[in-house]
Amino acid sequence: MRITQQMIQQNSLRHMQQNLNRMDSIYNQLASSKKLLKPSDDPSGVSKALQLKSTIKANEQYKKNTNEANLYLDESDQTISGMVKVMQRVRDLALQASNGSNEEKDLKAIASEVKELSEQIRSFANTKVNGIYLFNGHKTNQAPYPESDSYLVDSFDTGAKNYTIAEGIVIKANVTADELFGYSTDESNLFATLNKFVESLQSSGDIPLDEIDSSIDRLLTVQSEIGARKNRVDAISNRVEDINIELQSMLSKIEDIDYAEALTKYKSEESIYQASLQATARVIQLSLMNFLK
Amino acid sequence: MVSSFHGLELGKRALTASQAQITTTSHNIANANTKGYSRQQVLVDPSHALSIYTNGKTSQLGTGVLINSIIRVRDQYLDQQYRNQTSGYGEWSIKQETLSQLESVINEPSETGLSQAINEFWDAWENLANHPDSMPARAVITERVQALIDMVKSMDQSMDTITNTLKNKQTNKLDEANHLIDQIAELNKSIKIAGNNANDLLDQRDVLVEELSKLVNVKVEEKNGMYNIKLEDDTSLINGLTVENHLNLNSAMTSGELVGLSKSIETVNDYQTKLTNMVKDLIFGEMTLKIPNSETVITVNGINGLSQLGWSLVEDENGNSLNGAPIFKADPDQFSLKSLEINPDIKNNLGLIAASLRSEQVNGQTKVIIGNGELAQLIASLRLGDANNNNNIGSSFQTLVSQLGEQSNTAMNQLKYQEASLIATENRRQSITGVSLDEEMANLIKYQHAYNAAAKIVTVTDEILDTLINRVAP
Repeated sequence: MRITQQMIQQNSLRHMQQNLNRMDSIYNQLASSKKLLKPSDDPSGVSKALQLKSTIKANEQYKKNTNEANLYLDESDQTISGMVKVMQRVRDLALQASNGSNEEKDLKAIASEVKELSEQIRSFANTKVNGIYLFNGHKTNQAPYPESDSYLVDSFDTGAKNYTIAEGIVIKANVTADELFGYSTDESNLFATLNKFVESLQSSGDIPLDEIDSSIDRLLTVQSEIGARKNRVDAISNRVEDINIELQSMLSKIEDIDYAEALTKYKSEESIYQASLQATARVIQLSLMNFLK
Repeated sequence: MVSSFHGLELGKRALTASQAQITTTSHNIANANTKGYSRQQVLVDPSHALSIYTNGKTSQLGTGVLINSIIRVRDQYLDQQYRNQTSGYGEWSIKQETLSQLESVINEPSETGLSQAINEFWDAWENLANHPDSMPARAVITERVQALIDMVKSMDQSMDTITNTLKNKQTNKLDEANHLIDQIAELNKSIKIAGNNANDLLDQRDVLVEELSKLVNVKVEEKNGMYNIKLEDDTSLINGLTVENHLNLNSAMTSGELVGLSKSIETVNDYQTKLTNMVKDLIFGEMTLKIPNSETVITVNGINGLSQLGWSLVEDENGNSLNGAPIFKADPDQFSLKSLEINPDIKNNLGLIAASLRSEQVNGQTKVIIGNGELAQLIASLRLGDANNNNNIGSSFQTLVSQLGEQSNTAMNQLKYQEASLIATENRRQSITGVSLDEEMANLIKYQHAYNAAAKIVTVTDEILDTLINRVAP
């Protein structure tokens, strides 16, 4: 092939340009530490990366939701423990009242303590956390038992406070007054039972020991349910966390550079570019003119 | 018998030929870097020989040299190949440039792109679902909605800018092509007047035809030294000396920068429509949803429809809770990103954003149950699409991004391929046509020696005549 100076000049220029281009693209990868800078770098990789990022972002939100749910569950759990303690005291009093060796004033004292304890339970039922009534379903701005006789009608709400704690997994984080104390029509409604207890003390009637026991049982059942739910939330949130770590590493594999590999590549591109510069500098100087007198 | 002055004539012819060769060599050197120049050569023939009688038979006595012609060294076949390839290269370079512009408009993958804005939009709803009575949670939603709107609007705007630039370019390039057509016809005329081997004019015409080919692919036929130029569908542009047709946007063009431009305009438009539809689907598109804690399945028209299903925190003058307000302000029938806004009502009164699906009658008034976040939760669940896995803006956008990436990638590879084959052809052509300075220098010296020797012939002949006239005669 016949070669002309113009060809050499143009081809060297083009090759230098190509080498510089390759060097630049690896340099950009190194500087940004990302392999994927624009969709055309790896169309399917970019799509995969976007999808992973969305999932990771969603999981982070699910984690926040889980924390919120846990807060609800923990607060409920503690409050219910308080209620159980109070009810155990009520039970003690009931046993004391039913052993038959009580004087009138003792029974009176018991009656007034039970009234006090009933109010205590009501105030537990009206617990507010962060300005929200814990046991009143969706009516979070209203107390479930605003008055001491509120239990006579079902003034509370039974809406479920749901949290999405993982993709497609919704968990109910609250317990409502009906679960804790029973409906107004229930024989063993906790407040009705306490009332009955007070009345029986005043009228020397039968102490409603069975109802008190079943009220305590109801509270304990709810508490163990909460415990079970908490376990479930923990298990799911651990899984979400594990999945997220896995997704992060997948994402990193797709979009992050391997520094060792990229640096080696960069070094080699640099040498190639330098070599092309040197070669060009020499070849474009050559001419017959240099040797003609 | 040969004339005594034969040698002088022969010397003169040799001098003339050498001089022409030296001049042509100089011309080549002078034009070594001229675009489209093809090196020229002086073709010489021995001049007509004399028949002389030699010992019983006739022989031929040389009479020196005559210039036959001065030609340009060029390969028509390579020209044709170059013209075809330059059309393809022109088309793909425009396409590739546009797609790469689109890629920077889409701005993915990034931490600040639309994809992130969409994710944060859903998170904001999730947050409202956790705190359905919260005003700050609502304020976050308006911020996220605004960010989302700003992002798609700016993308739309940038795509408009690209389209306008392309359209301007299209007008300019069309003018340029028509101007080239006029010039080529002019050159046809000049070449006809100048006659055969008007080398420099021929070069000039080839340069213009190549420039035209870069803009639009044409068929070139040479007839009587003139170029007849036609489009692919045989519409004649130039026939001999006359321009028969000029190009317009409706001309049958199949390749070249002009085709690249019109296709690029379509591509940008296509992506703009996709983006618009994606947002429109989110706001107004049909969605099938399952109401939580029940078997009820409802169909609503987008987020705007959905947000009106619930109850806001705002009451009317009679103390009744109002339904939620639409989130976006836009016209479903003539949807355009340019007029898309956040609903000013919810911006002015955050309470109008509904989170609750429940209400109750209190003293004959409808009151929202504010602890219910089911509507917000329902909206947040759209992150994964509706109940039928449709209308998922996140995955629609991912599809758009990967499609763009795919297209841009193909364009880059095509461009590389076109460029490589164009360069290969150009190299082969340069190999034949290009001026080699080494060669010209060597030729210059060769012709200089020839000229010196021819001058010597004249001197020697002169001396012979001197001898003959001054010494032989008395």
